[in-house]
Amino acid sequence: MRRSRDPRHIYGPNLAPMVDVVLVILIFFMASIVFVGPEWFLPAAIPAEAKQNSDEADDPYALPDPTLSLRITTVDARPAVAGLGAGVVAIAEFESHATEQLRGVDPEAINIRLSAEAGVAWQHVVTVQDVLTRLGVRNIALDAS
Amino acid sequence: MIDVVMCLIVFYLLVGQLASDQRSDLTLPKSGSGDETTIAQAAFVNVRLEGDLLQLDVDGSPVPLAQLGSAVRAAPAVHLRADASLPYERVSPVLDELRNAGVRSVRVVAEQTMAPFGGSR
Repeated sequence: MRRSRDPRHIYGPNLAPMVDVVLVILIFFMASIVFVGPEWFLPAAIPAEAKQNSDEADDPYALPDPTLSLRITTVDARPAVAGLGAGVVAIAEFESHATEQLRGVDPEAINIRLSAEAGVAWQHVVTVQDVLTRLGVRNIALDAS
Repeated sequence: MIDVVMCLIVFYLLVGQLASDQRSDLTLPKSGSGDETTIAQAAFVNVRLEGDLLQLDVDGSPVPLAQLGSAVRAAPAVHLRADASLPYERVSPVLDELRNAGVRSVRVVAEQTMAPFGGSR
């Protein structure tokens, strides 16, 4: 049955413009949630402070610490990494260098302690952590001293 | 339909508000790898520099460095959201304070960098 357009049969306000506005608002909120940006997480340990005066430190038969200490430094105003293999490597080349150095090594068996000299930006620390994570290293600690 | 759409709008408003509470206004470091798993009730520690002062907040509430340990003690995990431009010597006292509070690990929050062809690595 066809609905009548007779004004006597139209009750209440016209909802069509409201539906349009509400849908636009909905799309705006959905889009803004997406633009907040995806985040993810890189796990890192906070190692306990080294024991300076323990008996263990004086034990000549104690096994060497299996932790590899990497230090992020600055060379010619560019960030670089020291401690993995010989010399200091620019951060831009760290991934290929680390891949070479860790070849044949089980990355899950390595403990790496990251530290940085004064002035090194947090981004560079995360970049090194990111590279090591992608190479399969799971035990990464951030130096808190 | 209007009811459903209104419910969706309220939902997105609330989610947006909660997300902005946890994500304070700072530039995160970028990373090509990471874990997307979230942990319920985890504390988000936001670290940024305002002028020369280190500003800390936990889930949006400002906290002095000395009280950071007590602010995160009950949380099952700590997410560290530090500004990418912060020098490391401003982040390490935060790590030290967390360590003193018995926190043995943190989850460093980074922004995902997109791999070519639109996928994340």
